[in-house]
Amino acid sequence: MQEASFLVLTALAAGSQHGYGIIRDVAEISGGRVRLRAGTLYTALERLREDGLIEAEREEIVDSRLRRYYQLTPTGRERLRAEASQLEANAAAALQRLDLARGTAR
Amino acid sequence: MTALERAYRRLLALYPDWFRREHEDEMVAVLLAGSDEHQRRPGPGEAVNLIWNAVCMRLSPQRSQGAGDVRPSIWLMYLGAALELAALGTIERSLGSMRAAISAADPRFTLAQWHAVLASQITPAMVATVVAAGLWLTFAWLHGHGWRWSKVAFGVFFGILTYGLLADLGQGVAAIAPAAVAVSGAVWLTAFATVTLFLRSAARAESAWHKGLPLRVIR
Repeated sequence: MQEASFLVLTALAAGSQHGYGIIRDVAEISGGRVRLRAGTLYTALERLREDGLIEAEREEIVDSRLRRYYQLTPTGRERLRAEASQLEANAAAALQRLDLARGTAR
Repeated sequence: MTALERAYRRLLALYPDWFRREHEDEMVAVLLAGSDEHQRRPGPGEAVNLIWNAVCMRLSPQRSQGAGDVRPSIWLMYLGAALELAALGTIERSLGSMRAAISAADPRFTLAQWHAVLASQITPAMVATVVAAGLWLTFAWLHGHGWRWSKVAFGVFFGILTYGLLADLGQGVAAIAPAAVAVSGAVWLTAFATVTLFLRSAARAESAWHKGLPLRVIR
Protein backbone atom coordinates (compact mmCIF):
# COMPACT_ATOMS: atom_id res chain seq x y z
CA MET A 1 0.00 0.00 0.00
CA GLN A 2 1.33 3.45 -0.90
CA GLU A 3 2.03 5.81 1.96
CA ALA A 4 -0.57 8.35 0.79
CA SER A 5 -3.28 5.65 0.82
CA PHE A 6 -2.16 4.40 4.24
CA LEU A 7 -2.27 7.91 5.71
CA VAL A 8 -5.68 8.66 4.16
CA LEU A 9 -7.08 5.46 5.69
CA THR A 10 -5.47 6.37 9.03
CA ALA A 11 -7.06 9.83 8.87
CA LEU A 12 -10.46 8.15 8.43
CA ALA A 13 -9.94 5.51 11.13
CA ALA A 14 -11.41 7.61 13.95
CA GLY A 15 -14.41 8.85 11.97
CA SER A 16 -15.60 10.38 8.70
CA GLN A 17 -13.87 13.46 7.28
CA HIS A 18 -14.14 15.71 4.23
CA GLY A 19 -11.34 16.30 1.71
CA TYR A 20 -9.70 19.31 3.33
CA GLY A 21 -10.03 17.69 6.77
CA ILE A 22 -8.12 14.65 5.47
CA ILE A 23 -5.32 16.87 4.12
CA ARG A 24 -4.92 18.63 7.49
CA ASP A 25 -5.14 15.37 9.41
CA VAL A 26 -2.54 13.63 7.24
CA ALA A 27 -0.16 16.57 7.82
CA GLU A 28 -0.72 16.20 11.57
CA ILE A 29 -0.37 12.40 11.64
CA SER A 30 2.89 12.53 9.70
CA GLY A 31 4.26 15.36 11.83
CA GLY A 32 4.11 17.78 8.91
CA ARG A 33 6.23 15.52 6.69
CA VAL A 34 3.43 14.62 4.23
CA ARG A 35 1.39 17.45 2.75
CA LEU A 36 -1.14 15.91 0.38
CA ARG A 37 -2.11 18.03 -2.59
CA ALA A 38 -5.67 17.98 -3.89
CA GLY A 39 -4.75 16.08 -7.08
CA THR A 40 -2.96 13.34 -5.12
CA LEU A 41 -5.76 13.11 -2.53
CA TYR A 42 -8.57 12.63 -5.02
CA THR A 43 -6.62 10.11 -7.10
CA ALA A 44 -6.02 8.16 -3.87
CA LEU A 45 -9.69 8.45 -2.80
CA GLU A 46 -10.83 7.18 -6.20
CA ARG A 47 -8.44 4.21 -6.01
CA LEU A 48 -9.49 3.39 -2.43
CA ARG A 49 -13.17 3.48 -3.41
CA GLU A 50 -12.52 1.16 -6.37
CA ASP A 51 -10.85 -1.26 -3.96
CA GLY A 52 -13.88 -1.05 -1.66
CA LEU A 53 -11.89 0.41 1.26
CA ILE A 54 -13.77 3.71 1.64
CA GLU A 55 -17.20 5.13 0.81
CA ALA A 56 -18.97 8.47 0.95
CA GLU A 57 -20.92 9.01 4.15
CA ARG A 58 -22.76 12.30 3.61
CA GLU A 59 -22.60 15.59 1.76
CA GLU A 60 -22.91 19.14 2.96
CA ILE A 61 -23.17 22.45 1.19
CA VAL A 62 -21.22 24.95 3.30
CA ASP A 63 -21.14 28.56 2.02
CA SER A 64 -22.46 27.18 -1.28
CA ARG A 65 -19.43 24.85 -1.56
CA LEU A 66 -19.81 21.07 -1.69
CA ARG A 67 -18.27 19.00 1.08
CA ARG A 68 -18.35 15.22 0.88
CA TYR A 69 -17.51 13.17 3.95
CA TYR A 70 -15.65 9.90 3.51
CA GLN A 71 -15.54 6.91 5.85
CA LEU A 72 -13.85 3.51 6.02
CA THR A 73 -15.83 0.47 4.92
CA PRO A 74 -15.53 -2.68 7.09
CA THR A 75 -13.07 -4.01 4.48
CA GLY A 76 -11.09 -0.76 4.73
CA ARG A 77 -10.95 -1.06 8.51
CA GLU A 78 -9.66 -4.65 8.27
CA ARG A 79 -7.15 -3.74 5.60
CA LEU A 80 -5.78 -0.80 7.62
CA ARG A 81 -5.47 -3.00 10.71
CA ALA A 82 -3.59 -5.69 8.75
CA GLU A 83 -1.33 -3.09 7.13
CA ALA A 84 -0.59 -1.37 10.46
CA SER A 85 0.19 -4.72 12.17
CA GLN A 86 2.55 -5.59 9.35
CA LEU A 87 4.35 -2.23 9.62
CA GLU A 88 4.55 -2.65 13.40
CA ALA A 89 6.05 -6.14 13.04
CA ASN A 90 8.56 -4.87 10.45
CA ALA A 91 9.54 -1.93 12.63
CA ALA A 92 9.95 -4.18 15.70
CA ALA A 93 12.12 -6.58 13.71
CA ALA A 94 14.25 -3.69 12.43
CA LEU A 95 14.78 -2.26 15.93
CA GLN A 96 15.55 -5.70 17.36
CA ARG A 97 18.21 -6.35 14.71
CA LEU A 98 19.73 -2.92 15.30
CA ASP A 99 19.93 -3.58 19.05
CA LEU A 100 21.44 -6.99 18.37
CA ALA A 101 24.07 -5.48 16.09
CA ARG A 102 24.92 -2.88 18.72
CA GLY A 103 25.23 -5.66 21.31
CA THR A 104 27.70 -7.69 19.21
CA ALA A 105 29.69 -4.58 18.27
CA ARG A 106 30.55 -3.95 21.92
CA MET B 1 -16.37 33.24 -9.45
CA THR B 2 -12.93 34.55 -8.51
CA ALA B 3 -9.93 34.54 -10.86
CA LEU B 4 -8.34 31.85 -8.70
CA GLU B 5 -11.39 29.56 -8.90
CA ARG B 6 -11.52 30.05 -12.68
CA ALA B 7 -7.84 29.10 -12.92
CA TYR B 8 -8.40 25.96 -10.82
CA ARG B 9 -11.39 24.96 -12.94
CA ARG B 10 -9.30 25.38 -16.10
CA LEU B 11 -6.79 22.90 -14.68
CA LEU B 12 -9.55 20.52 -13.55
CA ALA B 13 -10.89 20.56 -17.12
CA LEU B 14 -7.91 18.34 -17.95
CA TYR B 15 -9.46 15.45 -15.97
CA PRO B 16 -11.81 12.92 -17.62
CA ASP B 17 -15.50 13.90 -17.66
CA TRP B 18 -16.64 11.23 -15.20
CA PHE B 19 -13.98 12.33 -12.70
CA ARG B 20 -15.05 15.98 -12.97
CA ARG B 21 -18.69 15.05 -12.43
CA GLU B 22 -17.69 13.22 -9.26
CA HIS B 23 -15.12 15.57 -7.75
CA GLU B 24 -14.72 18.95 -9.48
CA ASP B 25 -16.85 21.08 -7.13
CA GLU B 26 -15.43 19.34 -4.11
CA MET B 27 -11.83 19.74 -5.32
CA VAL B 28 -12.39 23.43 -6.03
CA ALA B 29 -13.59 23.82 -2.43
CA VAL B 30 -10.50 21.97 -1.12
CA LEU B 31 -8.12 23.96 -3.34
CA LEU B 32 -9.66 27.27 -2.30
CA ALA B 33 -9.59 26.26 1.37
CA GLY B 34 -5.86 25.60 1.02
CA SER B 35 -5.08 28.86 -0.78
CA ASP B 36 -3.94 32.18 0.67
CA GLU B 37 -6.39 35.02 1.04
CA HIS B 38 -4.79 37.19 -1.64
CA GLN B 39 -3.73 34.40 -3.96
CA ARG B 40 -4.82 34.99 -7.57
CA ARG B 41 -3.18 32.07 -9.36
CA PRO B 42 -2.59 28.39 -8.49
CA GLY B 43 0.88 27.78 -7.10
CA PRO B 44 3.25 25.98 -9.49
CA GLY B 45 3.40 22.88 -7.25
CA GLU B 46 -0.40 22.64 -7.06
CA ALA B 47 -0.73 23.16 -10.84
CA VAL B 48 1.88 20.51 -11.70
CA ASN B 49 0.23 18.08 -9.24
CA LEU B 50 -3.21 18.63 -10.83
CA ILE B 51 -1.84 18.21 -14.37
CA TRP B 52 0.12 15.10 -13.43
CA ASN B 53 -2.86 13.45 -11.72
CA ALA B 54 -5.17 14.40 -14.60
CA VAL B 55 -2.77 12.66 -17.00
CA CYS B 56 -2.65 9.59 -14.71
CA MET B 57 -6.44 9.48 -14.53
CA ARG B 58 -6.68 9.67 -18.31
CA LEU B 59 -4.07 6.96 -18.89
CA SER B 60 -5.28 4.46 -16.30
CA PRO B 61 -7.95 2.15 -17.68
CA GLN B 62 -11.09 3.18 -15.89
CA ARG B 63 -12.81 0.57 -13.83
CA SER B 64 -15.26 3.01 -12.38
CA GLN B 65 -17.19 5.06 -14.88
CA GLY B 66 -20.28 4.99 -12.74
CA ALA B 67 -22.77 2.95 -14.72
CA GLY B 68 -20.31 0.09 -15.23
CA ASP B 69 -21.11 -0.48 -18.90
CA VAL B 70 -17.73 0.47 -20.31
CA ARG B 71 -16.61 -3.13 -20.63
CA PRO B 72 -19.55 -4.44 -22.69
CA SER B 73 -19.18 -1.58 -25.18
CA ILE B 74 -15.42 -2.22 -25.42
CA TRP B 75 -16.06 -5.90 -26.14
CA LEU B 76 -18.55 -4.87 -28.84
CA MET B 77 -15.84 -2.64 -30.35
CA TYR B 78 -13.38 -5.56 -30.42
CA LEU B 79 -16.09 -7.64 -32.09
CA GLY B 80 -16.56 -4.83 -34.65
CA ALA B 81 -12.82 -4.90 -35.45
CA ALA B 82 -12.88 -8.71 -35.82
CA LEU B 83 -15.90 -8.50 -38.13
CA GLU B 84 -14.16 -5.89 -40.30
CA LEU B 85 -11.24 -8.31 -40.76
CA ALA B 86 -13.76 -11.08 -41.52
CA ALA B 87 -15.26 -8.76 -44.16
CA LEU B 88 -11.78 -8.29 -45.67
CA GLY B 89 -11.32 -12.07 -45.89
CA THR B 90 -14.78 -12.50 -47.36
CA ILE B 91 -14.14 -9.92 -50.10
CA GLU B 92 -10.83 -11.59 -50.98
CA ARG B 93 -12.38 -15.05 -51.13
CA SER B 94 -15.35 -13.93 -53.24
CA LEU B 95 -13.30 -12.11 -55.94
CA GLY B 96 -13.86 -15.02 -58.38
CA SER B 97 -17.59 -15.25 -57.74
CA MET B 98 -17.93 -11.48 -58.02
CA ARG B 99 -16.31 -11.48 -61.44
CA ALA B 100 -18.52 -14.41 -62.49
CA ALA B 101 -21.65 -12.60 -61.28
CA ILE B 102 -20.73 -9.43 -63.21
CA SER B 103 -19.89 -11.44 -66.35
CA ALA B 104 -23.19 -13.31 -66.10
CA ALA B 105 -25.06 -10.01 -66.00
CA ASP B 106 -22.96 -8.48 -68.80
CA PRO B 107 -21.46 -11.05 -71.25
CA ARG B 108 -19.27 -8.34 -72.89
CA PHE B 109 -17.45 -7.62 -69.59
CA THR B 110 -13.72 -7.70 -70.39
CA LEU B 111 -10.63 -8.46 -68.31
CA ALA B 112 -9.58 -4.80 -68.60
CA GLN B 113 -12.93 -3.70 -67.21
CA TRP B 114 -12.52 -6.17 -64.34
CA HIS B 115 -9.13 -4.66 -63.52
CA ALA B 116 -10.73 -1.23 -63.57
CA VAL B 117 -13.45 -2.40 -61.14
CA LEU B 118 -10.77 -3.97 -58.95
CA ALA B 119 -8.73 -0.77 -58.84
CA SER B 120 -11.59 1.69 -58.51
CA GLN B 121 -13.97 -0.14 -56.18
CA ILE B 122 -12.85 -3.43 -54.70
CA THR B 123 -9.33 -2.46 -53.59
CA PRO B 124 -10.56 0.78 -51.95
CA ALA B 125 -13.28 -1.26 -50.21
CA MET B 126 -10.63 -3.66 -48.87
CA VAL B 127 -8.44 -0.78 -47.66
CA ALA B 128 -11.53 0.75 -46.04
CA THR B 129 -12.20 -2.42 -44.02
CA VAL B 130 -8.61 -2.40 -42.69
CA VAL B 131 -8.92 1.30 -41.77
CA ALA B 132 -12.29 0.62 -40.14
CA ALA B 133 -10.84 -2.26 -38.09
CA GLY B 134 -8.15 0.16 -36.86
CA LEU B 135 -10.81 2.73 -36.01
CA TRP B 136 -12.83 0.18 -34.00
CA LEU B 137 -9.71 -0.67 -31.97
CA THR B 138 -8.88 3.02 -31.53
CA PHE B 139 -12.39 3.70 -30.25
CA ALA B 140 -12.11 0.77 -27.83
CA TRP B 141 -8.87 2.23 -26.46
CA LEU B 142 -10.16 5.80 -26.23
CA HIS B 143 -13.42 4.73 -24.64
CA GLY B 144 -11.60 2.51 -22.14
CA HIS B 145 -9.43 5.47 -21.15
CA GLY B 146 -12.36 7.78 -20.58
CA TRP B 147 -11.82 10.10 -23.57
CA ARG B 148 -14.66 12.54 -23.27
CA TRP B 149 -15.53 12.65 -27.00
CA SER B 150 -15.41 8.90 -27.62
CA LYS B 151 -19.19 8.51 -27.76
CA VAL B 152 -19.67 11.48 -30.09
CA ALA B 153 -16.85 10.32 -32.38
CA PHE B 154 -18.28 6.82 -32.42
CA GLY B 155 -21.68 8.29 -33.34
CA VAL B 156 -20.08 9.91 -36.41
CA PHE B 157 -18.38 6.60 -37.27
CA PHE B 158 -21.75 4.84 -36.97
CA GLY B 159 -23.23 7.40 -39.37
CA ILE B 160 -20.48 6.69 -41.92
CA LEU B 161 -20.99 2.91 -41.57
CA THR B 162 -24.74 3.34 -42.11
CA TYR B 163 -24.15 5.49 -45.19
CA GLY B 164 -21.63 2.98 -46.60
CA LEU B 165 -23.99 0.03 -46.11
CA LEU B 166 -26.94 1.89 -47.70
CA ALA B 167 -24.73 2.98 -50.63
CA ASP B 168 -23.62 -0.66 -51.19
CA LEU B 169 -27.20 -1.87 -51.11
CA GLY B 170 -28.26 0.96 -53.45
CA GLN B 171 -25.57 0.01 -55.98
CA GLY B 172 -26.74 -3.60 -56.01
CA VAL B 173 -23.57 -4.97 -54.40
CA ALA B 174 -25.73 -7.54 -52.58
CA ALA B 175 -26.37 -9.33 -55.89
CA ILE B 176 -22.63 -9.51 -56.74
CA ALA B 177 -21.07 -10.11 -53.31
CA PRO B 178 -23.83 -11.32 -50.96
CA ALA B 179 -21.40 -12.74 -48.36
CA ALA B 180 -19.47 -9.46 -48.05
CA VAL B 181 -22.69 -7.48 -47.68
CA ALA B 182 -23.90 -9.94 -45.01
CA VAL B 183 -20.69 -9.37 -43.00
CA SER B 184 -21.07 -5.59 -43.46
CA GLY B 185 -24.59 -5.98 -42.08
CA ALA B 186 -23.19 -7.77 -39.02
CA VAL B 187 -20.66 -4.91 -38.58
CA TRP B 188 -23.49 -2.38 -38.75
CA LEU B 189 -25.55 -4.33 -36.18
CA THR B 190 -22.55 -4.37 -33.82
CA ALA B 191 -22.17 -0.59 -34.19
CA PHE B 192 -25.90 -0.17 -33.65
CA ALA B 193 -25.73 -2.26 -30.44
CA THR B 194 -22.78 -0.13 -29.23
CA VAL B 195 -24.65 3.14 -29.84
CA THR B 196 -27.75 1.72 -28.07
CA LEU B 197 -25.58 0.83 -25.08
CA PHE B 198 -24.18 4.39 -24.99
CA LEU B 199 -27.66 5.90 -25.03
CA ARG B 200 -28.84 3.59 -22.27
CA SER B 201 -25.82 4.37 -20.09
CA ALA B 202 -26.30 8.13 -20.62
CA ALA B 203 -29.89 7.79 -19.41
CA ARG B 204 -28.81 6.16 -16.15
CA ALA B 205 -25.37 7.71 -15.63
CA GLU B 206 -25.23 7.73 -11.87
CA SER B 207 -22.49 8.56 -9.48
CA ALA B 208 -20.39 5.72 -8.09
CA TRP B 209 -20.03 7.67 -4.86
CA HIS B 210 -23.34 8.98 -3.75
CA LYS B 211 -26.30 6.72 -3.95
CA GLY B 212 -28.96 8.51 -1.94
CA LEU B 213 -26.45 10.19 0.36
CA PRO B 214 -27.90 12.56 2.96
CA LEU B 215 -27.29 16.18 1.94
CA ARG B 216 -27.35 19.07 4.43
CA VAL B 217 -27.16 22.74 3.51
CA ILE B 218 -25.26 24.90 6.01
CA ARG B 219 -24.97 28.67 5.55
